[in-house]
Amino acid sequence: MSTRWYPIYQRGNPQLRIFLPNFWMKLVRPEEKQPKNVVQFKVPTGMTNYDIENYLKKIYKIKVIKVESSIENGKMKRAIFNKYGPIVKEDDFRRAFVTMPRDQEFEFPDVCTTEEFKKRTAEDEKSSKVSQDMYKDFLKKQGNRPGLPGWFSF
Amino acid sequence: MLTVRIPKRNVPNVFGRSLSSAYVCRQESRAQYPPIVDIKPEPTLLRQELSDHEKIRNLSTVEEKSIGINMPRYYGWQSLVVKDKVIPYDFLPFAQTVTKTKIYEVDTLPNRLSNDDCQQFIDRIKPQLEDSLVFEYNRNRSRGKAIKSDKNIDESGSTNEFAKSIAEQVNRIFLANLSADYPHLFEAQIDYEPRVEGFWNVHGFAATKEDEEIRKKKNVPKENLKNPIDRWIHYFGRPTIQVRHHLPLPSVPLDKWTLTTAQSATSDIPKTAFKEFSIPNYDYDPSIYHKLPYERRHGISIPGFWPNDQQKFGLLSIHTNEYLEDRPPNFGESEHQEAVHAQAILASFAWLIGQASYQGFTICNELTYPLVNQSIITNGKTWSFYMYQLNTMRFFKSQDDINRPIAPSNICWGTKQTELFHNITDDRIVGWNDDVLKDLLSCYVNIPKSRDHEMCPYLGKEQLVANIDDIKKRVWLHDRYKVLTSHRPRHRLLPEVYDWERIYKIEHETRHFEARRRFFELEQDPLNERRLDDHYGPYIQRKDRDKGRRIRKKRFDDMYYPNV
Repeated sequence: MSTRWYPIYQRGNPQLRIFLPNFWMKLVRPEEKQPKNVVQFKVPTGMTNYDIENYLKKIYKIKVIKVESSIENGKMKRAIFNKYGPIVKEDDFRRAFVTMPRDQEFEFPDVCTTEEFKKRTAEDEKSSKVSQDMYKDFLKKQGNRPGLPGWFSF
Repeated sequence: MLTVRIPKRNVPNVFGRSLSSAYVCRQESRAQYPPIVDIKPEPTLLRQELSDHEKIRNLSTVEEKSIGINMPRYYGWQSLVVKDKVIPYDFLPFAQTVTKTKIYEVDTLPNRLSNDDCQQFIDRIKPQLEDSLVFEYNRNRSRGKAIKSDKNIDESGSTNEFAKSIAEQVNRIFLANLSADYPHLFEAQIDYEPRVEGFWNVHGFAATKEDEEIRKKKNVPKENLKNPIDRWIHYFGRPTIQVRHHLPLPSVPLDKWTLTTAQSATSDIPKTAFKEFSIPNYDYDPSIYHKLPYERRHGISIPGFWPNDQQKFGLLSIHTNEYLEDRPPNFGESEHQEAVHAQAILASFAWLIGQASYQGFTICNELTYPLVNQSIITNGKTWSFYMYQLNTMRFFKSQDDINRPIAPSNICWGTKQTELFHNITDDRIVGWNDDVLKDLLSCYVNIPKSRDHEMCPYLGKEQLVANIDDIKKRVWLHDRYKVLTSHRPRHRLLPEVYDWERIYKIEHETRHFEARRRFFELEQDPLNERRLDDHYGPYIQRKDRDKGRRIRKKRFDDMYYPNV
């Protein structure tokens, strides 16, 4: 959501004129098999089915047959390295299934296929491998002296 | 102590190696070995499925068979609930896939009479129909409030009431006029708003993420995680009227009706133009796209009457389609037409598997002969007619191999929605459509005939629980069957994983020191593993137990669950 507040309309107030909504919708790749004319979104929990329909119709000029949505729980995880510390919960979100007319098809595009992206991911992997190796070396040195700081000996 | 020792060497050993091997050699020609079977997990499961179904086939009564289907689940089968008048967008592919039905949209149905036969009946019936239609249209059905005179009939909200009363009137007029000439109508039974349920299994749905999780827990190899799975489907319907008879409708001569196209039709075969909807492979999870709910239910197929009714075969069922009014108009006209097709397919299939189950076939044992049904769907003004032939109802995985190379399919013939008349002006009906009247007439005039083959090959001599001699067993089975069909929840609540347990015990192990007592900590799955007979029988009081003596054996009464 943007920082601008979405004012509640009270009777008697001037009519709300919204040029762009305060919502963001995220198109997601389906994890399960679904019909070709169905598109899946993750949207803010405050958005209603009518909002979703209007958003797609008015901004993107998409023909919408129906919208089904439900609020899902955010993931539970451990706060530190996903392994230690208290259990925390990510934010809830609304998962929306938008049905287009059945003669239309949508396939989730293959994003992130450029050369630049591949180069960047390769670099990332390389650096993470280096740090992993360093950690292994550190463990080897510390093997029979647990709890000793790294600077203690050469 | 005096003992006589016999040295071992001196005793002739009868079971010694040389003698016994000679014995084996002699017997070898007579030896019977068990069959060599594939013991990999998947073929074993399929064999298990087939042997369970064989056990159900060998049960001798209708009621025991339907209890037998439910034996593996104490809390009922997790099934997709389909209701007759809840038809989501683009439902026809789903309806066709789960019933394996080909539908032909035709102009004239296979049961259509020739023109000369019907004309005199139509002339006789028309004035009576006109009277009652005009009456129904002008009737005040607002229960107290007067209908505004300028309001059109189509806009008044109570279409269901309206369609229902018109269907009842039409049915009454046709029966009254025709039963003198057609005695089968005189013998027929009529049910108003009966309870129809169908329960069947369909193999081939794509596995969801949850299914994959369950498979992972069962150590299914990684490459098999995404294999298609079974879904149980439970249909609930309530036709407005159903007419049934003690003889079945004759099956449709298929060579005449499936093969004629508009081009290749010869002169002696009736010329029919049709639009074919062949069976699609709709394997998406219907809970996502169609929002069909999953519920845990005991599976029961009921065709609207109890098994000991005499009139066991359907003649005609009339349904209403008032739900079309509430469907959004942006679905499109052709989609609305397909929704009616889907309604007809599901309603006919469910009714026919109910009838078939009263003949001793279950979803686990394939039909040996086709069953036929006619159905009419109306909103009072527009009518569509369907004919359905049930050829197959076993859609388990093990059936795929049996069916190869060509799987049998059910066939549905249907007409488009057509208006019975154009309008009503000055209490007169304008613009009768005689084709609709002919179709209506043909449905009633289609005479059921006795078949020359055995009707219940899979039933024993008792056929029904009511014919069992052992009174205790009879009463017990009867009660159990009624309890299953009633869909009341089990006496105790379903086992449940509470949210705090899911978070702090299952997903994150934070409570190491607590005793492991709950079912998920003991690696049990009561919902899917507890069997229907996994409980004690009724307690026998001590005074009734073996002349009041203090003995502990046999404290619980016998139960007569079928051995499945």
